Amino acid sequence: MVEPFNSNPAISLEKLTKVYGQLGHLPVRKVTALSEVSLNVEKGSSVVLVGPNGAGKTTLIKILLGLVRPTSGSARVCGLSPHLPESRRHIGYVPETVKFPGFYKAIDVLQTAGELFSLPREELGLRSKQLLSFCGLEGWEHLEIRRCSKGMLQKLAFAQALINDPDILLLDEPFTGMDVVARKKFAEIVSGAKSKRGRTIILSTHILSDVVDLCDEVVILVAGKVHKVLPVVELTRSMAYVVTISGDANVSNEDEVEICGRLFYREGSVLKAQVSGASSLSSFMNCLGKLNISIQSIEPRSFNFALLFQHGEEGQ
Amino acid sequence: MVKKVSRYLNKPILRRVFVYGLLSPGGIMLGVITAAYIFVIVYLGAKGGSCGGCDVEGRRAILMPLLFISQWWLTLGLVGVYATEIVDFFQDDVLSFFLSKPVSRYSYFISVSAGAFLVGSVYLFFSGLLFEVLLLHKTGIWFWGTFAVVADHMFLNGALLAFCLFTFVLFRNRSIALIFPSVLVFVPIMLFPGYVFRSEEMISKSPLIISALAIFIIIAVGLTIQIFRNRDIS
Repeated sequence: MVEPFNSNPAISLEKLTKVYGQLGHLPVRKVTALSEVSLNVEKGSSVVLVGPNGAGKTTLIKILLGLVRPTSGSARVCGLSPHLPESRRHIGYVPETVKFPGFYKAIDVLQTAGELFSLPREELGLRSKQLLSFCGLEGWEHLEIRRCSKGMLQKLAFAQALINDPDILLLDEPFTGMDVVARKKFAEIVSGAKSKRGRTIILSTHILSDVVDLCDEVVILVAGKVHKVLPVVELTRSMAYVVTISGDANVSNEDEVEICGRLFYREGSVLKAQVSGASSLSSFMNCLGKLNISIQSIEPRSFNFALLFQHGEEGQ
Repeated sequence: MVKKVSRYLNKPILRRVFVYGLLSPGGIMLGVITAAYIFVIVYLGAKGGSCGGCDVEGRRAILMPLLFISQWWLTLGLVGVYATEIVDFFQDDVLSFFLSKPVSRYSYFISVSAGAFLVGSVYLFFSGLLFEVLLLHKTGIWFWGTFAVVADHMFLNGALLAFCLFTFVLFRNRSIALIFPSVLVFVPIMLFPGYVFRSEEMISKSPLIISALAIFIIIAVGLTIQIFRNRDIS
């Protein structure tokens, strides 16, 4: 019996531990992927799991899907054990490595996913069309999977994850292998999916700059443990940005020039400078404004994990 | 019992696997091989039949080796289909797609296996069984019943499938799933002269072979489900 979604937190983890390679008392090499992780994710919130490779992000997501069995502790998805197939009625999942049976066509993936959720045929047809259009795959529905590009597969994975209009979206490193343009496009699609009221998003990544606009909270995982839980706003305060202005501002035509106390370096026809922290960025922009220097772009840089962990420690 | 099993049968998965198995490149290749063999067998059978001077032993000498070649090829072909196409459904990344939906592992395993079994049955029915009935008719050695022939083929097919899946789930290696069952088990079975040439002596032992294969299937399927149920999908 599925309990009403509203009555429980979306995700609830209590002292969750996963040790790989445990075979009874046999002397096999054990790897602790997660160690006593406790976490509650309220419905409607967006959480990003951050951590270096091997931090346990994928294991955590797979436990929520029932693909990996925890060694100890408990996990609940909408109050249900992930072991129960019913718990997955609430979930849409985008894996890190997207693979569907190679002989499938794009439309087959959506049809199969919809059939597994027992969607009525008419509704499934309509929703498949809408999702293909939403994810920018219109006109590609009859393309075989083995002929799809990485970006197309990722979009398709996202489309099939939305087929059941899920309450919880689990995205495991969805930006892996994408170029900057594709990442931005994909982030827009995720942002569109976030618009459903009450939908919970859990996203794992190590490119934090791509998801600062998508998530409310950051869970920092290090060596299988929750290092820190922070609001995204707090992190963006210490984030590094690259500010680009026109090269005309450097009248001396030198390769490096100091403006508003920052060192700009020339890159083709533009000048670029790096600024750390949201407050520094704000005062720097004011200064440039007073000098009538127009800003061409401000881009967040890939997040520096050392800085992130240092920040976490400072906060403790 | 049937009700219990059918409760675990996920029809969309069963249908997808069946269609996938038939229409995938491996399935099409196997279909072509099957069709070619049926043609050759029927053609040679007809030729043998029109040979007024040939005695039963003479016809048997022509047709029996064909039985061996046909079954050997089909067995390898089936292993090929299972290993290269159906086994895809047991790869971790594909499993993640299916098992992230409201489908239990039991249901998934049973449905994929049933779909693969149906694919194999279609080919075995139209090739091996058809050929064998034709051959037995031509040579005059009638099996002690069509039921025995059907059971023989079904269990051979089932044993092959069970063993393929068992080796894949255990070793998670496509090559082992392809080579191990065919080379180590089925080729020797096929080469076993009594089985291949269907002597009257072996025909009388057929129920024994069927029983042995049935027990093997039950053990292999049970073990496979246990391994599959308990393993993490990385």
